[in-house]
Amino acid sequence: MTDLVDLTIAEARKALDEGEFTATELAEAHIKEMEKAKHLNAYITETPDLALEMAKKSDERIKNKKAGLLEGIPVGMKDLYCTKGVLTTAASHILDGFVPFYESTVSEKIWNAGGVLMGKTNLDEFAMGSGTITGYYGCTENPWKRTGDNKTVLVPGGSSGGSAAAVSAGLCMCATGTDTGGSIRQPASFCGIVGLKPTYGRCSRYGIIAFASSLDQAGPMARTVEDTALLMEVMAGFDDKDSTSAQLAVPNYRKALGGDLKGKVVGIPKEYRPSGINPDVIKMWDEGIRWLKDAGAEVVEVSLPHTEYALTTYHVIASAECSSNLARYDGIRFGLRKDGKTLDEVYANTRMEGFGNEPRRRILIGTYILGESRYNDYFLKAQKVRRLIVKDFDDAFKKVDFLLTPAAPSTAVSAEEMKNQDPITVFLNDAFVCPASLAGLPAMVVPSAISSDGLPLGLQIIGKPFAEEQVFQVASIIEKAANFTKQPHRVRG
Amino acid sequence: MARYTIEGRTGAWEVVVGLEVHCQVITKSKLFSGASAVFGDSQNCSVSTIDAGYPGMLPVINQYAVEQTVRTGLGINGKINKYSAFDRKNYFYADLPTGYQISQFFHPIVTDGWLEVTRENGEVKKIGIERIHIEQDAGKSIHGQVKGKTFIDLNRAGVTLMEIVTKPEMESPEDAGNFVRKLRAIVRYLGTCDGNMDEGSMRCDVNVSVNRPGDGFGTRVEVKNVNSIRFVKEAVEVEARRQIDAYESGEPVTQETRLFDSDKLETRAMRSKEFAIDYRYFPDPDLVTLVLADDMVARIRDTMPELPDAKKQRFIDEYKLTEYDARQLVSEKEVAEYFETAAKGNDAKKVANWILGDLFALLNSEGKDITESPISAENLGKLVGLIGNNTISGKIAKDVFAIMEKKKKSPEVIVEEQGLKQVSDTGAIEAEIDKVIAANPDKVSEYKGGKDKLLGWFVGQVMAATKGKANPGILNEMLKKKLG
Amino acid sequence: MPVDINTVKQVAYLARLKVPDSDLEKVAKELESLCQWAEHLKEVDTEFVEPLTSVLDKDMPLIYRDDKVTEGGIRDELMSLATENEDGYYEVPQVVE
Repeated sequence: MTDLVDLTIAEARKALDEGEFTATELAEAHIKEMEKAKHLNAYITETPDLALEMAKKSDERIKNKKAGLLEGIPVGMKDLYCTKGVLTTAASHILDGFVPFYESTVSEKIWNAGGVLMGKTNLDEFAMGSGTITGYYGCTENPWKRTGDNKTVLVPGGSSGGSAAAVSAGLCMCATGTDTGGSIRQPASFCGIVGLKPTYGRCSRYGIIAFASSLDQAGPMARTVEDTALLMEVMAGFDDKDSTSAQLAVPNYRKALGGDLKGKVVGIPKEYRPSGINPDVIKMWDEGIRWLKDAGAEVVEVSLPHTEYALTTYHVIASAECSSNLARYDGIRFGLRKDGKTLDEVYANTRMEGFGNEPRRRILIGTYILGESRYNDYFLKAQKVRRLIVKDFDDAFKKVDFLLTPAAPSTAVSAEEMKNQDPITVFLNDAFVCPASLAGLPAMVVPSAISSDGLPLGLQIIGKPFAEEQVFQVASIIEKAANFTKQPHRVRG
Repeated sequence: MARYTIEGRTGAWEVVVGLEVHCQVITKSKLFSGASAVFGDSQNCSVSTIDAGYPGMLPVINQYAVEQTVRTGLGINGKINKYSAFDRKNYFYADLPTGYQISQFFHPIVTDGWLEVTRENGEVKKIGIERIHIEQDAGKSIHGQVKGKTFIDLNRAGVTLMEIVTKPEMESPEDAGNFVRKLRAIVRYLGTCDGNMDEGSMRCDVNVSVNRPGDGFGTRVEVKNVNSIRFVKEAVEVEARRQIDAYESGEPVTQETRLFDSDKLETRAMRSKEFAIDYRYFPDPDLVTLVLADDMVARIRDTMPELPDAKKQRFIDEYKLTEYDARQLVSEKEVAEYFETAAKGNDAKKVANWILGDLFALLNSEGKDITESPISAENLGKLVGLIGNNTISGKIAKDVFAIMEKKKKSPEVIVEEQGLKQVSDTGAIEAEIDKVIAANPDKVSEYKGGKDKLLGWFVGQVMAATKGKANPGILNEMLKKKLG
Repeated sequence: MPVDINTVKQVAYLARLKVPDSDLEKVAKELESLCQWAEHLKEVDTEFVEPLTSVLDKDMPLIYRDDKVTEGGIRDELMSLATENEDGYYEVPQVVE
């Protein structure tokens, strides 16, 4: 039998329905793989017992021809989604012992479709970071290694780095992520998998621990475009428990895959070619443009003039929103509590002990920025620039159907390298993914090339609002053209 | 007319008052969650994960809460804003689970309203209302049940409040009291708030400043926790006097928040915090713009009940009441309803007199409001009817009224049972008159000698003999004739 | 814009984060450098630009909830997650008004 953990969801679904193996066997194969890959620290909480229990029920439903879209498929759930009866941490000590008695809408949809929970994947604390290195439960390792360097541990990207590493290493067949300023796309690029940040409002945010509410969006991560489309069909949809959820029907994204791009215009934003960018990235991008041309698309250069302000705008808005969103972690009703003589002491002691450096830093910044005397200069200003960034995209989309950019200016680095990066590089790391977050646009990363040091690189497709089908189609064309088959270094037993 | 002033040691001072009135909106469920908004559940039972600020929870707005606020906005002649938005007011407190209150700071749902109040001297004063915004109530902190501990009950957390903010246009304690009374009447007419200040479903913060006539506004001080109409008037008065004393003693008045102590009749400064409070208002990213559908606003406008001012005018036109009486009767929706029920087919002016006189005196003495009246509107109407058709005299009616209160019977039954029907039979009255004249020859000759006042004495004698039932008109006429 | 120590203390208080005295200077510098960084937004002309809170269309139909009681009655669940609770109440140190 081929290694079950190497199958795509589409293949596994077919095999399950045809009785080639059972959901229980599929879950067991993944549990075994998880055992071997403990050092990756991809999961904060592994749920093998629950997985087997869920798989058993899946087998029942498969037997009774009542299989859902994800029936029996092992899923990794980013530990930012509240899961009923399963420890939910946001990778923060402040949620110590927090076992919700409620379920997030998106995870609920996944269980209803037959998904099997393998565990809660690691992330940066409260999704604040791009390396999966800031969490209370430690760093996650990227399963990929540089060519000829098996020692250097690389980051999987972040904040959905646990999900990306788990999918890439075969510790689940797909996973959920959340993307606030690139948190699905950048780790997808670093780990050589597919990740989609849907249009803001496409997936419900209900039950997902908030970082920056106007930017947070749930999305799927998987090894193929088709698998990603399948997971997206399950995750997306209107939810009357989220006021920012779009009241639109969910298309069959898998039907959008393939075909050609005749009559379509692809925009290449000229601002996404800054100096200091890895030449391998430029090479991949040029190749990607060629693939789309080959598929019949017309290629034009477009300008998104406010791109250089995106990152600052993002940081101001995200810090401000998070300073307020994280006020509820006060020790009174759930999670960690540290004693104090007065109420204020309980607050301050709990929050000091419970939050790590990154959330503390951002809360202070956000609190400062929102101050009465600074609101207009920083927060309001950022909100205005954000509108201009949205307008840049609107203008571009009058001329083009979608945009093609690299996902990241470089390949994965080590945690040490990341900490010592100069400000320009840090800036560049998020520069390509952040603008689409501010504009709420659907954006997808597809692994497209291997760099000269043997690491994956991804291309990003940015679509018009709610045009996920178009994004999926382009992604499927790139996937086919790139023929990306290399797998990460994996411990085989 | 001369403006109200307070006389200080060094001269007269004008008072300027603005009010912030928090009204708990009548709804079944909370503003942003499906937990019950109705009082009376045991602690923390009317609480959802949204109200308690659990991770990942999101607010979804209650349509009826919005409609109720629109209704109130129309009731205060306000501008209903098609677009409004919610903002977060950030601060930590034990009864504020999310660490922020969702409110409307930048773009409130209602702006530019006004109400008219009538002063004791009949003068009408128009008071501008700056805004009404929707916000969440906080939970309740319970102190002292266990030493050194405060208990938190979140049943009220997330219940809908409307905050009604006036312009600083009230000029006296009386204006402030009148405004709150008028506003309370309106929200009760509309059914948007029960107006119950004792239970805290309507709460006032009072902004007071004083200045010399002709000068600009003085420093404004906010007095919190003022929870009855009487307290509103008292708080304005004592805070204005405190400020005047301060100014006259050469002490500064600082912009601050003070608490009203209704026992000591004083305001006192709240414990100052080490750091300035900064609420860091910003638009709530969990909620999109609140867009009011035109047809929703139109539907509410079309179903507005008659409000006090319109009702007052109708009472004057339709029932020929005086402005004063009409104003008293419409001040509470229930009183107006009582009046209209009782006035049906009866002399409306007399009904009004009975309500504003005997009935109010009775209710006051028993500490009841009109909905608890021991005498129903129908029975009061019947009583006035019995006077009108000469079945009983006005004097007997007072007795019947007293019996009605105790026995809860209709006046007809009481008159029948107790034989109180007025005697209009001239023969019967004449017989009694003759008896009295025969028994008192000396009084008769005194009367005839010019002592006219004795007529009253004769009336009294006959009335006593008939147990008060003789028709007073007939009796008077016959006596005069008999005594020549 | 220089950030003074008192401002850092106020911000820390507002955020209920205990910043040790030894870190105040560091945080002040951090806030300063952020502001410096944010200064470059001032280059952008936003005179006639409306601030954007949500990318969602203003005319997107609003999601309203019907005024029905659909939640509540979960006191035991709520209390089971609270470290300090008594008799169905959340518990905090005595708050002096």
